[in-house]
Amino acid sequence: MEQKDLISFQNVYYAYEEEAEEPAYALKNVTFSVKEGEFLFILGHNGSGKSTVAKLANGLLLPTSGVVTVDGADTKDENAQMDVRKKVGVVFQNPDNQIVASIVEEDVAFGPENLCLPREEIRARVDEALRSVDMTEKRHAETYRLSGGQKQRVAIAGVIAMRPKCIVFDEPTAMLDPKGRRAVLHTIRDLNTRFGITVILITHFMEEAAQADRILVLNDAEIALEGRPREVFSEYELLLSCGLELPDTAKLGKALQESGVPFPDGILSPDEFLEAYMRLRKDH
Amino acid sequence: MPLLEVQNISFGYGHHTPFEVQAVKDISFAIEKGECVAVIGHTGSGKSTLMQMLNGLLKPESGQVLLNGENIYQNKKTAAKARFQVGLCFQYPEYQLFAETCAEDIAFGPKNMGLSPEEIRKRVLLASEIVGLPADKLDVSPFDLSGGQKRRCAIAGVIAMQPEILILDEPTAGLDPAGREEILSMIGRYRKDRGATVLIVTHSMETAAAIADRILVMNGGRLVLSGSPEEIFSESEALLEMGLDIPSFARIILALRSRGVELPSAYTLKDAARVLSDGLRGGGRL
Amino acid sequence: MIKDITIGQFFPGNSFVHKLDPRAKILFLIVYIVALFLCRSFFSLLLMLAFSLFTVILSRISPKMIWKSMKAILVIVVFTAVLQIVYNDKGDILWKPFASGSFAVTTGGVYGAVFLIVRIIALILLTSLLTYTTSATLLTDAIEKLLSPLKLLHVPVHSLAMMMTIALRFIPTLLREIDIIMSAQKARGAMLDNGSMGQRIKALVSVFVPLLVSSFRRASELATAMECRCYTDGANRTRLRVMRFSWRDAAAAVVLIAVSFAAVFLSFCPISTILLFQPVIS
Repeated sequence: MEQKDLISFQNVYYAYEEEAEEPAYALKNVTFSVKEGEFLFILGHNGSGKSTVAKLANGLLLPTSGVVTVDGADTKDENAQMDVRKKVGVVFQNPDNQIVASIVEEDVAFGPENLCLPREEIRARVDEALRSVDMTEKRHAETYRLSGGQKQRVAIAGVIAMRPKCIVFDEPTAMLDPKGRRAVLHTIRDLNTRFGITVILITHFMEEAAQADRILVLNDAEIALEGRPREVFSEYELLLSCGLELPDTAKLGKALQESGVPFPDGILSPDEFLEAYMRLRKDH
Repeated sequence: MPLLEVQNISFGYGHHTPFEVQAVKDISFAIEKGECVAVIGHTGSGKSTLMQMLNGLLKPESGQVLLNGENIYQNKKTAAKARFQVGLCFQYPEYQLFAETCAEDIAFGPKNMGLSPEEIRKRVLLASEIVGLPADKLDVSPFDLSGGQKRRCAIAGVIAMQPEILILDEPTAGLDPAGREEILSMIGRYRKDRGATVLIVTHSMETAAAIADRILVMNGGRLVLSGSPEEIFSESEALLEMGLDIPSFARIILALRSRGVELPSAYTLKDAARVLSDGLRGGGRL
Repeated sequence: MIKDITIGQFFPGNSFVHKLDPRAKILFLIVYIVALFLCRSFFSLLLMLAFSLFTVILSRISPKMIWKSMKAILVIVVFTAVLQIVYNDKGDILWKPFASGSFAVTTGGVYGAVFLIVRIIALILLTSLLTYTTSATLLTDAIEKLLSPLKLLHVPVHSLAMMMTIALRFIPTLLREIDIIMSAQKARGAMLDNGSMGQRIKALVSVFVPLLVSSFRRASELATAMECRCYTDGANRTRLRVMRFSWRDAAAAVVLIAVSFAAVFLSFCPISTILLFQPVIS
C-alpha cells in the first residue's frame, strides 16, 4: 500500500542571523519526508539542528531556502498557517514551559479553546485526550504538583486535544527519570499504533530509537544517515563521529565480536540478543 | 573514622498543610575518604533533600550529620563552614551561572571563602583544568559557552572550593551521549588524580554502575538498599518495583540466567562481554 | 522557607464555598469589604467577623492553614496597631511614659488599635478564602468576565486576563526556581543568609541574574508552545468552563447582604451605644 507523504522537506536550509555575511546554518540541504502513520526518529547530538526540524515542521520557523510542505500545503503560505499548526502538533523538552494553565484539564482545553470549538466539543476532546495519556484521574489536579512525567503527559494531551495528524516530540524525555521516561514513551508508542498518529521523535537516547520505523541522523546541520534501525546502527563508526552511540544491546554484541565471538550483526532488541546468544551456545 | 557520617536524619516539608511530605525518614550511612558513592532513587524519593542536609544548607529535624566526627549543625559557624567542606553541585548547575566571565563565576566560591587573590587565581586554573574547560574560555561570558561547557564551568565553580567531598546531583542530566561520557570520565579522572571523595545523586543506573564503589537506594524517603553495585543489581525486581531500572547489561545476563544459562553477574559493558564470551567457551563442557 | 508560603494557593475541595460562582465570590468580597469599612462599632465589626468565621467553617479549609496566612501579615497588623496607639490622642489618658512632651497612651488609641486589628483580621480571612477556594484560572476568567464591559473602551481585557493566568501559573514554578538558585549559591558560600547587609545585597546578584536569564528562557519557550497550540490574540476563544450562577450564589448573596446591612445599620444605631460599644472612629 502506497502511503502518502504527510510532511516533506525539500533542500531545506535554515540560517540564524540571515543578514550576517557568513550565516550560521542550523540546517543545510535537508531533504526527507514522513509518511502518514510512520514512526520516524531523528537522532543527533546537542546542537546538530534537530530542534530546528521540529519548528520548521509546523511552520513556526520558515526555511531560508527550500520548501517544507505539510499535507500538500507549503508552510510559507500564510493562508495555510493555522491549518498546518492544527495538523502538526509539537511537544517540547521542558513540560514546565509549555503548560499554560494551573489546572490539568484547563490546560488540555487551551488548544481547542484557541480553535474556537463549541463547549461540548472541547469537553469531549479534553476527556478523550486525558484518557489516551492515562491522566483522567488527575484532571482536576494543579499542574505544578505533578511529577515531570505526568506534566509531560499533560502537555501531550494538550496537543492530542487538537487532533493533529502528526506530533513532533522534541526530546520529550530528556528531563525525566526512568519511570517518567517509560510512561511517556509508552504513551507516544500508543498514539502511533492505536490512534495512527504520525510521530516524529527527536532524541539522543539510543535505546528508544531501536523501535523506530525509520531513523534520520543529523550531524552538524546535515543528514548524515537515514534508514531502518538495523541499517543505521550497523554504521557504528559514523554514529560515533556524530557524537552518538549504539543501543546497549548492540554495544554488547559488538564487544562480543571484538573478543572473537562470531556474534551476528544488527542485533537491537534484548529478545533478539537472547535468541542469538542461545543459538551460539547450541552451536558450540 | 568515616569522612562523612549521617545518623538517623529526617526532614519534612509543609507541616500542617494538606501537602505535608516527609521527604527524608531516619536515614543513616557513612562515607569513607576516597570512596565514590551513588545515591539512587526516582524523583521525589528524597534524594535532593538528603543532599542539602549533608552540606549545612538544611538542618535535619532530627539526627546528626558528622564531618570528620564533628556535627556540622553545632552552630551557625560550623554549618556555614560545611558548605565549603562539602561541595554541592545542583542539578542543571549551568542555570546558576551569573558572572561576567567564566573565571569570575568559578571564583565565586573561593572568594566567599575569603581566600587571597593569588590563591583564588590558582584554584580557578586548577578547577578549570580538572573539568577540562579550555583556558581561552576563562575570559568569555559563561552564557556564550556550549551546553556541555556551561555544565563543566559550573562544576568547576564547586571544585574550586576544594571540598573534602564533592556531591553532584544528576551531573549528566540532559546531555547527549558524548557530553555524558565527558562528564563521567572527568569525574573518574578527578577521583584518580586527587583521591577525591565523590557522592553522586542520580536516577541513572548506568551512571551509578559506571563509576560507583557503593550504591545507596532511596525510596519514599527511606534508605532501602545499600551495597556494592553487584549486590544492588542482584535485587533487580525490587528496583523495578521502585520505578528504577537496572543497567541493560545486567538485565541481559539476568534474562539468560532465567533461561538456565549459568553465568556470573556483570553490570558493565566490559564485564558483561567477558562473562558472555567465557560462557560460550565453557558452554561445551555443560 | 519559601516552600511554606500559602497565600494565593488553591486547595481543591467540594464545599459550599468552593462551588460558588467565582464572579459571585469576587462581588461578594467587594460588598463585604465595603461593609467592613463602613462599620463604626465593635458590635457590627464582631458581626462581620462572625460571618467570615462562619464562611471559613463552611469552606472546610483547615483553620491551621488560615492561621498560617494570618501569621505572614501579623507584622503589618501589629505595626498599624502600634501607630494607632502612638498617634491617636483622643479619649482619656491611660499611661504617660514620659514626664515631658505630649505623648500618651489614650483610651481612644487602644480602642482604635483593637478595632483596626479586628477589621484587618476579618478582611484577611475572607480575602485569603477567595484564593483558597478558587483556582487561579477560574479567578482570572471571572475577572475577565466582570471587566468585559471595559472592552467597549478598547481595554484589552482578554490579554490582561491571559497575562494574569500565566503569571499565576508560573508563581509556584518561579518560587521553586528561586529556592533552588538560592540554595545552589549558598552552597558556593553566597552570603544570602549570613554576612552584613552589603554582602547580602551583593550576593543577591548571583540569584537575580540566573533568575532573569531563566525567566526569559521560560517566557520564550512558553510563547513558542502557545503559538504551536494555535493561540493568536485570543479574542474569540471559546471556553471549556461556562460560569453559571446557581441557587448557592443567590442564598449566599441574601445572607451576605443581610449581615452587611445589619452591621452597617447597627454602626449608626443607638443599640450599640446602649450595649456600651462606643463608636470610636468619627
